[in-house]
Amino acid sequence: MKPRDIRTAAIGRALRPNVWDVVALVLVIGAMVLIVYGGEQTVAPLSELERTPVSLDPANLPLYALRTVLRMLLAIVCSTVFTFIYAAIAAKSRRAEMVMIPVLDILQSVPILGFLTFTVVFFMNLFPSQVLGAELASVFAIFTSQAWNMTFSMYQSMRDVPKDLEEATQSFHLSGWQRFWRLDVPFAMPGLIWNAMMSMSGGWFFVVASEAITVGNTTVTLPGIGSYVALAIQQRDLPAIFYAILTMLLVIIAYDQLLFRPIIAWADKFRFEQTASGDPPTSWMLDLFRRTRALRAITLPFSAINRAVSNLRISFPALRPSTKPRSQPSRLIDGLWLAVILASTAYAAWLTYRYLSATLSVSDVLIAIRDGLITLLRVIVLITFATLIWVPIGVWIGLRPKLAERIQPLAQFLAAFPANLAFPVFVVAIVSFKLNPDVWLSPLMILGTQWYILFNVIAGASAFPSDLREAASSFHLGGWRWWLKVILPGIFPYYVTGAITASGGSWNASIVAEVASWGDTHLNATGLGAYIASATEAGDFPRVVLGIATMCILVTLFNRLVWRPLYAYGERRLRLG
Amino acid sequence: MLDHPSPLIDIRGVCRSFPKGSGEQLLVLEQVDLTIHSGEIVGLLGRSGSGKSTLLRIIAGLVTPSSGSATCRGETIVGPPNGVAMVFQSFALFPWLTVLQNVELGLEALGVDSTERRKRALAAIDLIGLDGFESAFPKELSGGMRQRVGFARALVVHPDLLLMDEPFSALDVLTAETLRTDLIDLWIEGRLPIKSVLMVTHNIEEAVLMCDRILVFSSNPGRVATEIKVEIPHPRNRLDPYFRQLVDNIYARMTQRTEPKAPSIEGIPGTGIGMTLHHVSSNVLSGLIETLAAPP
Ligand SMILES: Nc1ncnc2c1ncn2[C@@H]1O[C@H](COP(=O)(O)OP(=O)(O)OP(=O)(O)O)[C@@H](O)[C@H]1O
Ligand SMILES: [Mg+2]
Repeated sequence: MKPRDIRTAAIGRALRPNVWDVVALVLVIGAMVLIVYGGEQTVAPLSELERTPVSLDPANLPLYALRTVLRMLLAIVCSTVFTFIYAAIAAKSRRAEMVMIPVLDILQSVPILGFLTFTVVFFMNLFPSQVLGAELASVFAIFTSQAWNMTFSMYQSMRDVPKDLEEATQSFHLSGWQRFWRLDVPFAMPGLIWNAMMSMSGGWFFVVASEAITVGNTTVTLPGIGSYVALAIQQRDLPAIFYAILTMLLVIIAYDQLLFRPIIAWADKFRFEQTASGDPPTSWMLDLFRRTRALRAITLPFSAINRAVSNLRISFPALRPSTKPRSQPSRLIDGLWLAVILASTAYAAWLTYRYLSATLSVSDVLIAIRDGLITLLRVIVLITFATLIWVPIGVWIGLRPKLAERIQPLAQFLAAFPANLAFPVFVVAIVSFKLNPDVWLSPLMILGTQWYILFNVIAGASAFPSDLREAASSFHLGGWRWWLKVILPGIFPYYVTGAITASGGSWNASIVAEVASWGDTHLNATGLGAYIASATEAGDFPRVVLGIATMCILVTLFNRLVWRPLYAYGERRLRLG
Repeated sequence: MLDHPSPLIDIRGVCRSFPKGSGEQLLVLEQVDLTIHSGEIVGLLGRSGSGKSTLLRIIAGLVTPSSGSATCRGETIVGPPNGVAMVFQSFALFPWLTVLQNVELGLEALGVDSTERRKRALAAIDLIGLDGFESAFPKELSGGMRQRVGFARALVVHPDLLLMDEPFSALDVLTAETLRTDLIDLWIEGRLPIKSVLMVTHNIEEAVLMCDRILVFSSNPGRVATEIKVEIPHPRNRLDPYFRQLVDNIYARMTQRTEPKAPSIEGIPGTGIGMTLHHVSSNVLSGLIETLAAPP
């Protein structure tokens, strides 16, 4: 029996050019043309933007979509590169890790939308009067929404590499560099891809917010779906909103089919399991690539480069050996390192204090904290509601694999759905029924993020071992007891992961959701999000900084005091297998 | 064969302890001496937890000794020494690499150029009886075939010393036996590109079948209790009386208590509370009970 006979046969057939070659070639060339076109637009001078303002004509949408897609693509590439470098350094150097991982943790809770103010100013100054500056600011905003969870996933994987494989690389004298490409990266791949997909969904939210941005008296509007939506909201154009939603749907489907499906199908080999699973994921796009000669020819150099790169004799520190007894790390250097960290922290704290105290008083701080607590209350209530609704539904779906497979893309689309698109409905309803915006604007915060709870609960329920389910049914466990004793403990770690993401996302979303507008009706809820949003609009930098800092502190505290202990508990007591 | 000028591996007075959860140190190896020369197969036998794997990993350069000296060809072992390859109990194959790529891995690390690498890898795969499976992924193979890949991966770098930690224990009896005899046949015919082997095993027959020298470990802490030379020529016959006697002998030594209690006053000597019970599986016991309960 030669299991790979099939593949050689496929190669043999493909020796003749076939219809797939034509299809594939058109696809590739089309993609290249689009990228070049999109790239040309970005180096235009800034005045170009004013000459051709964004219009609501749906005929423009495909081009806007292209610009947006390219921005997101660039951002995900940047995120991937960042992830590789940052995670590798953090995993391989103990001293770097001491600083890098907490920093990453904080970065994860920074409200990116509040941050936009500074990045736009920064990048515009970098490339004055060029579109490129604004483009980069937008890409940077998307990047900051995508990178952190990917980096965490990669870092975690690199720390959890199976011990026997690690020893095999040592025993066969692989260099640190070879080991990185042969062991660390492949092992981290499945988690990284999953997180990249989540990031992509999350990125939409920031695209919409970052393409049309007003800082003080500067307004930059980059052509794209986001600015189209912003304009549609400003002009109360419902059909345009509908077109935008449709375009987004199409783009998300295209991303899924052309990018993520093939990657998932290809990356199936990286799943760390010793036995082949039932049915591996498939992708017509990947089949196309495998079947066509021309396209395989394109991929060949890449695999050759990959191999050559991984075999380069680059000295690269190996992961610090866990098996060897610690050759006492130098106390002196450790002490110095700690001193440097403390000194720079103190300096940064002093700088912040001086900057803020010049314009702000204690009462401002108290207002920010009060607003923060109001938003905190919203987040807690919303997460509770989302949990009560989505956990039972998620379990129900997750236990039905066929259904779960079909729900997955839908949930992904809904997770990508930016809150702004729901403004019309909410604003009109609140105004016409005279509702209290403090209460009724809140659901916007969780509109896009509640799906992470659903995602993860579905994943947890589908991973629930069937033998345990069978054992439960053979003991006639049912009703409440089944929920409490069997399934809830089983999905708990997954739920917590989802809830952390959802609550983090909700904090972020509050900056958009607590101030909603439709045409010239503006609704304002009291909360930290609204605080930051209005400070941004007024160009009041000290207040923006104060708001962001308050939000960072609240999110971090909340994570440390609530989610971390829950997560640790789940890991310790309820982890299956 | 012995009394070589410079032994391949020389372990002198090696101790190793690991920190226990409570903060104390757990002494795993105490004053272990071991020499491996070119051209011999050495077996390590001993109770579970007696530190056999730890000793093997010290030689592989994956663990450093707490005290004592471990040298390979006269040089102190720091990190995996050149010319020592390891076969893992858990196979430790990279699931994302094909059989061929797995086997080529060690050569890539040595910087062997690609044509030479391909040639040697194919030769090793051929030698170990896996031709036709070069482009299969490990998860498509059975356990026995996976361990063959593990062997090929270790052999392809032409090591002077092959380290094997219970290489057959994850396999079923029949597969293990086939692989064992295949390996011994290749060894006798001199077709293996290796000079010596050090293997850890729990299986006394396996040790007597394959090894020239067997070291029996005592446990808590691990120490070399006895060294037994096996001077039966290959191929060895398991039914040979001398073979059986050697196996029984080692069995007795391994199951013997460290300090035998004085026999009790009444009853047959050796019975009573201090009697050593042979390990009998619950299946056999229930079988016995059934036999006794069955009508005659
Ligand atoms: N890295 C480690 N950290 C702490 N303790 C260890 C470590 N490695 C081994 N030990 C301890 O050393 C002792 C001996 O382990 P070792 O694996 O060498 O035994 P062994 O003889 O190979 O046992 P087995 O036959 O079951 O494989 C065990 O008690 C184990 O708990
Ligand atoms: Mg062992």
